[in-house]
Amino acid sequence: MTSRRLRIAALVAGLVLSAVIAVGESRTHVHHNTAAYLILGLLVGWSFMIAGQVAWLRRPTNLIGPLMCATALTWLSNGLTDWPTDAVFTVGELFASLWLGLLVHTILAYPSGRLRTLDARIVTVLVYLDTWVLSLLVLPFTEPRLDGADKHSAHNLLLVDHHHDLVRAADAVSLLVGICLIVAMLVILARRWQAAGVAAREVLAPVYLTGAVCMFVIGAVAIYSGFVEQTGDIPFYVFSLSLAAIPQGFLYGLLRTQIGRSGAVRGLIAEIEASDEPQRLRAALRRALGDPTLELVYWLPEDDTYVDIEGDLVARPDDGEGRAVTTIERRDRRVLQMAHDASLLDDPALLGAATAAASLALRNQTLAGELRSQLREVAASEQRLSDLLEGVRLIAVSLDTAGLITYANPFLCELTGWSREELMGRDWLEVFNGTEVQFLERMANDDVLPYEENWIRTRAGEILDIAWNNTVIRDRDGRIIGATSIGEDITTRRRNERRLGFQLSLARAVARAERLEDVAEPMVEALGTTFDCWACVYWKAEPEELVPVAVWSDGATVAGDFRERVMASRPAGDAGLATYVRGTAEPRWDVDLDDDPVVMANPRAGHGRGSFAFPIVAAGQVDAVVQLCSDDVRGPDDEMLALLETVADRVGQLIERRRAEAAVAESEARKSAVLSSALDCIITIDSANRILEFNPAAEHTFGYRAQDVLGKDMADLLIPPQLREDHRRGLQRQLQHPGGRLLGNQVELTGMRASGEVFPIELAVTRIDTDDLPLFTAFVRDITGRKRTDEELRRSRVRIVNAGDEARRRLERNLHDGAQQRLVSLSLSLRLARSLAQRDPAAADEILASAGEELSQALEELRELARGIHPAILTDRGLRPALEALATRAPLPVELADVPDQPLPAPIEAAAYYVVAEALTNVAKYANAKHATVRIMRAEGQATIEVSDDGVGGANPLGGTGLRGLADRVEALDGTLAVESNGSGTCVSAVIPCE
Amino acid sequence: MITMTPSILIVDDHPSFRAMARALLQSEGYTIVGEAVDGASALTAVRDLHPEVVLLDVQLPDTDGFAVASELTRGTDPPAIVLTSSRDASDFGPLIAESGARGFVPKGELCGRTLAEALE
Repeated sequence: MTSRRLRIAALVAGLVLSAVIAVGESRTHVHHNTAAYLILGLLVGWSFMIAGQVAWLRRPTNLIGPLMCATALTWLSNGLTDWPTDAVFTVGELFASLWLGLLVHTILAYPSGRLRTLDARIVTVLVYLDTWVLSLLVLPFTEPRLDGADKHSAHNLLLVDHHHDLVRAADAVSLLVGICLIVAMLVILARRWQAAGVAAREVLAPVYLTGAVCMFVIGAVAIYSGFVEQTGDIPFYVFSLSLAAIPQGFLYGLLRTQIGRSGAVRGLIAEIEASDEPQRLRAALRRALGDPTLELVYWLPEDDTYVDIEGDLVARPDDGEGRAVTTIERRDRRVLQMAHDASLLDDPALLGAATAAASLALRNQTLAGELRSQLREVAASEQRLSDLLEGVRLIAVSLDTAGLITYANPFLCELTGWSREELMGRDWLEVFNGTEVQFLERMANDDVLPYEENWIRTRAGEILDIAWNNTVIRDRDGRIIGATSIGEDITTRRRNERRLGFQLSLARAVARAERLEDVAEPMVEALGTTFDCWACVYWKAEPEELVPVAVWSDGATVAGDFRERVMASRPAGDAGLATYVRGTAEPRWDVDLDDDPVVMANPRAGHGRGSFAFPIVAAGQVDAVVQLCSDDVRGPDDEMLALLETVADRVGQLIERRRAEAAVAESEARKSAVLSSALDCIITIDSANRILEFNPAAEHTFGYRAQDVLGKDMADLLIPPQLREDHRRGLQRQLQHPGGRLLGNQVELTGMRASGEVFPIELAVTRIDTDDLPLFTAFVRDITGRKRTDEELRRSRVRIVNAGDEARRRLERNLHDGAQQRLVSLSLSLRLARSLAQRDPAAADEILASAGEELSQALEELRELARGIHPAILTDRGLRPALEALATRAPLPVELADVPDQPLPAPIEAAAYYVVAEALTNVAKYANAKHATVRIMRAEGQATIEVSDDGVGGANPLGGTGLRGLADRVEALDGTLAVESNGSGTCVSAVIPCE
Repeated sequence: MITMTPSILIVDDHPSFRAMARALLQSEGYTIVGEAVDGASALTAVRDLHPEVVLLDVQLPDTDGFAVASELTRGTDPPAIVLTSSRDASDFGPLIAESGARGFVPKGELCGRTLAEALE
């Protein structure tokens, strides 16, 4: 069935019901005032029916119309219960209590026809349950006639059993719940009213007002009838009239807007034709649609942005709670969107007429709208900038040309502790930094630096470093009216940079410094430039005065002769800041110094004459004072003080260290000299056997260069392989149990040279205990030469002993074979001669004669022997006669070419005699020479004995015992024996020291 | 058995001593059966001449008198050996006693009587 048929069917049903009721009432006369009841009942019913029909006709899809018609029909069905026929009565009873649920449903669903909220749905369902469903449940147990309430005689056809108490109980529950539901409904309506916009309220007002009044009356009547047995007719009249007012209210509201909007749409078209200004369009639309909240928004497809008619960027309009968006589109896709109250959707015809009229205006409006939007964009960007300045973590401040603050952003206030109200109009110089006069001068001269770094003082007195970006502000004629500066708080950064830069320069200076004076120069420069000073002076503390060691000055700020004046000054006593600091050993900051030599040396010093000085303490004494001079009257902040304290501390340490190093260096130099010049090898090893020291003697002896062995394992290099393990074990023992035979004693060991040659050494080891593991210094002497000499000496001694033995053996044999034998024979001869003397005197005489000859020969041999033992002539007569005797006895001509007149020491004369005797014997025996020459010379502390011949040569100095014995004799006197022998002869020469 | 004037072999490398000893001993009745100048010839002479007494010098060119004496006394029926030297007997310690010689006469004291005493 179509909506229209349903509507007509409802209308027909209403007519039929009305007729039936009218007939029934006229026949039964249940009520004593039948006409009044009938008229009021029909009035209520038809009020709902007519209003429902109108609503249904106008909004076929809206359920309000059908709901009102249903309310009308069920209301009218109440009349059936007065019908005397049982069937009609029973049908009437079935639907009689449904109207109340439908009424509540209609009111809560108004104006959309839907129960949009959960609470509305719940209340509606509960009302249906409380009125209609409960009455249906109770119907089988109720017989109104038996209750005596009604006088008619119709019967309830559905009656099962009459329960009067049950009916009364159900009525009581229904009443109670019903009152609660009415209250709930009123609450819902009140909340909706609150939430509704202006246009919505216009729609809601008539229905909500009448509905609320009606509900109130229903409640009141129900309560009243619950307590009063005989209510009379008045409550019914009031109730009926209030009920009939609801559809009247609906009709009133509907007709009112309908009429007003129709006129407004006509006015809208007239206004659009008169002007296409968007503000007027909006005003006309607001008036036409009765929605003062209506807004127009342009969509700019290029940027997909939305701007309002003022040109401001706005968010995309959204059809949220109670709002709706209607789009007015043109073919060129320029789009106007209309955001309005959602209730306007209930009147699509009106909305359609309004949007159609508005679309006419679009053709002219959009371009202008875009232009305006661009202008507004500029303004918006200014606004955003302003917002930015308000919220940014940078200082933003504007000054006028007099330096008065015209704008200060919150960050400046936060940073400095002033409020904006306190700052506005105040003098910047007075509040933040009195030294910025030149900024105002520059502003006046249109010479503001785009970037500068400066400082400000906070309310609490703290100094902050600020990096400024400055811009002047001009009026339309280009005149400067002020400046805006954006400032960054760079206090921490500057301090860090300053500290870093300073420490870097100081570290460089210290690293390069050979002497302390080398540090002072770069230090004053680093300090001066780091802390923006015009001068920095390093004063050395001498006993009576301060002496300037290093002076740095900013050439642009100081007077020409500043440096000379400072260098010439010798502050003493209590003159000047530096002497004061020297006296107190504490840093000090002072201004207005009239007696300070540095400040006074610079007449150009600023009015503040500020100066800061701090002591450099070394070994508990003020060693120096560093003085900084600045026009900056701020004085040092804590950070600077801490930094300078560190500097002073470090330089003080440096001084102490340099002094210690100088002492060490001196000692090192001495030690180094000792090491270099020492004849003994000096080798120091650490406990890991690594070579730490290797002096030139060691280099020479072992054949390594120091740089090749330093740090290497000593045993591997200097000790023969078979002894290395012994050495390492010994070192381990030494580390664990200091002491042992090696330390402090001279021992003979074996060393190894770079060539692998093994050689004898004499070694003494000293242990040097350090904080760490001990070191060992070995004094090593190569005793190869001494060993050789010792061996030579030993052999020489053996030879001398052997020579002595041989000489005695020869003497004994000569005596035995010579003189002794002759004397034995002489003895026998004499005994024989005596025995023959009697018997044969002639024979005896012959024997005696022979014995005499034997005796002479024995004497001669004894003399020769005695001469061999020691030449008596040498002792008695001297060297020359002894040599002459030798020459005479020699079998060849011997020339005594040269013999000193002065006697030589006896041992040397003896040696000379034997050298000549042996040499001449050899000449006689082997040389086959014709002539020999003997020379004895004494010169330059030496005696030289020389025997040369013209023989065949071939003499070997080591060949026979004779020459070897001579060499021993000569060497025993620290002399040397040399033999030169060739084809032209032999020359034996001995050189003996002779003082 | 040694006779009162036994036959003698003189062993000495000095000719003057051999001549003087021969003349002296012969003058006192001794028979000089031969002379030898060294150890080797002494051994040969003893084997050839069978002297009753050998007057043996201690110091010989090829060996010494003690070795010759030992050699001679090891044979059968050895001659009586009297060692002689220009040195004193005490210079030789026990060597003379151990050599098997009958006695020792210093050269300077050689005569018939001292020889006879040495042979006792």
